[in-house]
Amino acid sequence: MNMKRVGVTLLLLVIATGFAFATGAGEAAVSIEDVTVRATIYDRGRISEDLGTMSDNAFVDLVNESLPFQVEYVVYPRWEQEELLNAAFAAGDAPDYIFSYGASYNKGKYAEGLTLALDDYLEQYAPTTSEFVAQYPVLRDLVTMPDGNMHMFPIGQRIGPNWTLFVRTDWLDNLGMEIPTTVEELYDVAYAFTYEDPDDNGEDDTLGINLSWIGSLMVDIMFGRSESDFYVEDDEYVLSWDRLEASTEFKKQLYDAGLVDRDFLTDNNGNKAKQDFLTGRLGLYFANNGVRDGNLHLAFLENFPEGSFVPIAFPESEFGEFNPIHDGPGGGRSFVNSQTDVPEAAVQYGDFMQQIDTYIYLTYGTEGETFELNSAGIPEFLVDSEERTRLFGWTTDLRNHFPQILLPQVWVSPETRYLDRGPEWDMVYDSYTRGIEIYIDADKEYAWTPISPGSMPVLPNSLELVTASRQEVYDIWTRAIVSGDALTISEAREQADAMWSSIGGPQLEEFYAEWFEENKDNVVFAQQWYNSPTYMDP
Amino acid sequence: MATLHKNRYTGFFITNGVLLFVGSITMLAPVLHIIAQSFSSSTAILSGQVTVFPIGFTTVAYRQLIAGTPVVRSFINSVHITIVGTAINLFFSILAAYPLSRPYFYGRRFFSLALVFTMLFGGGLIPSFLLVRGLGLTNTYFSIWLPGLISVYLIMILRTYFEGIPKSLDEASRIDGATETQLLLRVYLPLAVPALAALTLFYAVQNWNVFRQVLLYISDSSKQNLNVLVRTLIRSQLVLEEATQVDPGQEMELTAPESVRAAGIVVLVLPVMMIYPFLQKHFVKGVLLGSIKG
Amino acid sequence: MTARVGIDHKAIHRRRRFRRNVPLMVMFAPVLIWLILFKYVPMLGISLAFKDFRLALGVFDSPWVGLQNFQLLFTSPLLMGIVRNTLFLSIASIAAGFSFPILLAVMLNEVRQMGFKRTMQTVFYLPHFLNWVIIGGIVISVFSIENGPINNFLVALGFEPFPFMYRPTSWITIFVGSGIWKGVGFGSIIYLAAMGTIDNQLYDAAEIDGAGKLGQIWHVTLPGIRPTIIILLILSMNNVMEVGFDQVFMLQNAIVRPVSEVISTFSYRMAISGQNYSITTALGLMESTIGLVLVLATNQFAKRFDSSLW
Repeated sequence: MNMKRVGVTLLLLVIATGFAFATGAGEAAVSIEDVTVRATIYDRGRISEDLGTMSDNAFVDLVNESLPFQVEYVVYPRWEQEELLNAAFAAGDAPDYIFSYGASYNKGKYAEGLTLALDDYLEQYAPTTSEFVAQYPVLRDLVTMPDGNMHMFPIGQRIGPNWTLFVRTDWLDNLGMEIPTTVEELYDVAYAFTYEDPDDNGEDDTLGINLSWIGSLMVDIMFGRSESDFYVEDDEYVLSWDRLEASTEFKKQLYDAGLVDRDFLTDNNGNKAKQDFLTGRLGLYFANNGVRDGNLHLAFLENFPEGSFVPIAFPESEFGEFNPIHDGPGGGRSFVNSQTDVPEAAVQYGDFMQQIDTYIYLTYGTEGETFELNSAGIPEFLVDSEERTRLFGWTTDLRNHFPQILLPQVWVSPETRYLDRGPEWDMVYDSYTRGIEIYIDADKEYAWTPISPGSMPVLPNSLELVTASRQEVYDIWTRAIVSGDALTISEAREQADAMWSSIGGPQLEEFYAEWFEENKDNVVFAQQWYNSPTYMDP
Repeated sequence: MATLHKNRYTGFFITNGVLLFVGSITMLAPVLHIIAQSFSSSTAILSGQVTVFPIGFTTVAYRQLIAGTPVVRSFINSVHITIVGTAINLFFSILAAYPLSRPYFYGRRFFSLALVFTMLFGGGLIPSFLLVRGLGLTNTYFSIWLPGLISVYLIMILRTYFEGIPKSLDEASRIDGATETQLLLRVYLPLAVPALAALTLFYAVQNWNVFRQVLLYISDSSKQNLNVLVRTLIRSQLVLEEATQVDPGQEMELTAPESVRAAGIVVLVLPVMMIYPFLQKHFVKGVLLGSIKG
Repeated sequence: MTARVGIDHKAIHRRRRFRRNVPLMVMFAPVLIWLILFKYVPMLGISLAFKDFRLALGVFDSPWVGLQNFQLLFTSPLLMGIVRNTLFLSIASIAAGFSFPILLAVMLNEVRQMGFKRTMQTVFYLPHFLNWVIIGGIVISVFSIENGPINNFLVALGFEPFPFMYRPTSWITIFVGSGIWKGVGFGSIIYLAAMGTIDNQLYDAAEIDGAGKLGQIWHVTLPGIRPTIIILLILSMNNVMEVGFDQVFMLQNAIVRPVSEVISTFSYRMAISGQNYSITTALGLMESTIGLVLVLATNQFAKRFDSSLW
């Protein structure tokens, strides 16, 4: 017997066996029970001390009990999350599951390859989410990235009104005028409000309309302007200043006639305009989230118990009739870090957060203790309003993991939300229901983002400088509004064109044109939202 | 000594006093405004009626602040960070400034340059973050106290102060056989009390207001300080881009009312306002130096 | 002087110096460690300005791109304007604001009643603690056209309201002025502390020589704090490229943006449209270099007055 051969064979056998064991051990994945998922959540500073902290409270306990693995929350202050997350990514230490409202931030992370493609995991680890996307395929499209995979957990919500134009109806009555439906009529009403003493107090203390903060943008909407000034025309995605020009012209007229607050440019957050409205100085008020603003309605009622106002449709211009900014039907608010060690568990956590029982616990509490179902099957609180805010006010962001569209319509209808809560809430109810009618109208165009933001491409680094520099172009248009004869509209357009070229705008145009050529069949157009099942019938 | 001449300078004193008083009113106005807001009703604030006096007096903002936010715990954390941090800062500032002030210290010029250089150049957010993490300091207050051990700016000021103390004292002490350390403890420190008081003030304020570092390194909400909490409350939709992304479900009822924000600011600012009066007695003109001349 | 036979003075000197230095070195050691570890080690991050930083790759693995980031910056037509604004606003603030804290310190120093003095000191240093978010709003409403107190006053006198916040010159004045107002109380503290060491006898001597109050201030107080003044001047050069984001952001508007847009606000806009650490680091490096040049220049200048930083 050749000992050497025996030896070698034995050795080979040992090695082979060893290999077998090794691969065997490798294949048995680490049990999903032994892991910890680190998930982010926002901190708004609104949780009372006795309920714990954002990372240590009764809900965190519930999550850990309900899931086979551990969940640890990484808490970031609401407005600082993006910067802090980037630092964590840079350190290779970012959380496994990230919840973020920033659509462009999330998209940016996809572009950097930091988001996990979810398709392979959904069926096994996220049954709720799988069912949900099967039911609403359009919502799936909104979170599908160019590589064909879903990279975010989709959510869906009933489209709700946001930007609002209010008018003082008591003033209209005093002056014997009708609600304006065209921009010309709007001008006439604003003029009358300013100069014809609509509140009958013998003093020249009223203004027609506000351009402050987003007021200016709302006028843009009446002229069908899109936020980026790019439009889909003749099957191409192109830049055009036409609508911005018309809108600026109108604003200039308003300003020159003295119908607006001359300080509108320094009203950085809309507060001055709000004050003017609440102290009876303003007749036409462009309000952010106006129809849902309980505080606004309450304050108005306190100051003017006899007064009245309603939201009105955005008047028609030469370019048509448009819907102002409102909620979109869906999108993605969370993704899994592609560098995670525990993708299965992270996906399962995401699924848990999308289950209706989780939502109920976070919003209503425990049946029998904090709420009960009434005869119509709608949850009703057993605790008073203050206690309710204390117990559940802080869970907003956790609740928002859940696709609201899955809730029974009656639970979140305006009737349930606003009626029987007090006179100012009755007013909100009126505003809100009217808002749904006039602002989310399928017959009107949604011009602000002709293409759904979720479908827009990520820009390369060099073009980012261009977008950051856009402000300079817009400043020129803004200056045209207030500079009287020193800067006419046509001069402004020339200067804007020149500025646009100098900051590299044409390269951006080229980029978008090419991108649109290749992708036009895959994008979701904003107009399609009105065909989706998330469009709420008024 | 001054009293003998009081009558000669009365005119000066009165003018001085009046000018100061008038100036102080402008300083006081915004503070009164915030305090007034914190005691006013939301409606009054939204309508812009509140100037320096509360309208619709109510303490609901403070009650909501205490009941609905972790303000008490954050306050305690801030106190903790400030007291320990300031002590550390002072101690090491002296250890840094004293040697630099001695003309015969080896490398004196070099070290001064090296320090000032760091005031201008820095690696930025990411490297500092990686370093602190690497040292295992995250989620402890040492992530604030250690990187912020001393302020080069204040060291230079303290050094200048030490240098300004007459060298004659050096010789006098040496003849008595004092060592370098004894010189520091018995001569320089007592004479530097005004500067040390100023440094205490600055460091205390800095520690109380620390923001970026707490954000970056403290992940446990229960260890957060007051400044982070208040800023989170104040931070509203100031930016246009953010305005068009209203957080869903944030019905306007849930945003912190103006009065609560004002109350948060008051709680944040009040303690530091109180520090200065305590330290003022050390900023006295010429009392100590005079006694040495004998 | 001839050395005495057998005694080596130089050696004695050296030994003595060494002995004195030992405790000093012991004192300074922890500071030195801190300096290297927490200040110089992170400076490696400056390399990011020469790399194309990718989050997914981290600091060390991101690719080198040489001067590309700087190229991008320098070819941006806006950048020169932004740097110019930053320099202008901060130098204006420093130059205009330098004397006010000194003036205030002098005034406070002369107050005799302790109660009044303490109150004034406390009151003056209050605005330093209020956020620009609050102060910005107040400044804007004070100077607003429609109903601001300043314009109301002008109208009462028969003038037309003036758009203070919308003309570059007046805006810059308000910007600088509000910054001075906010910081004067806090800034006076150092000077007050320095004044505390001035020997009383010097004042008496000056008085005997016939100096009035103002004369005493000019000949005793100010020279007494001269080293402090100079050091603070040099140190403030360090802040030349840092125009505070909050202050500009709260006070600016579309009309004055050509003069108000600074590095910090531009970086913020860049951050909103897409994170780009490489470019921000490059910007920061540029800021630091300009600051360094200014500090060196001021320090050379200060040597003529015998007090320099090194």
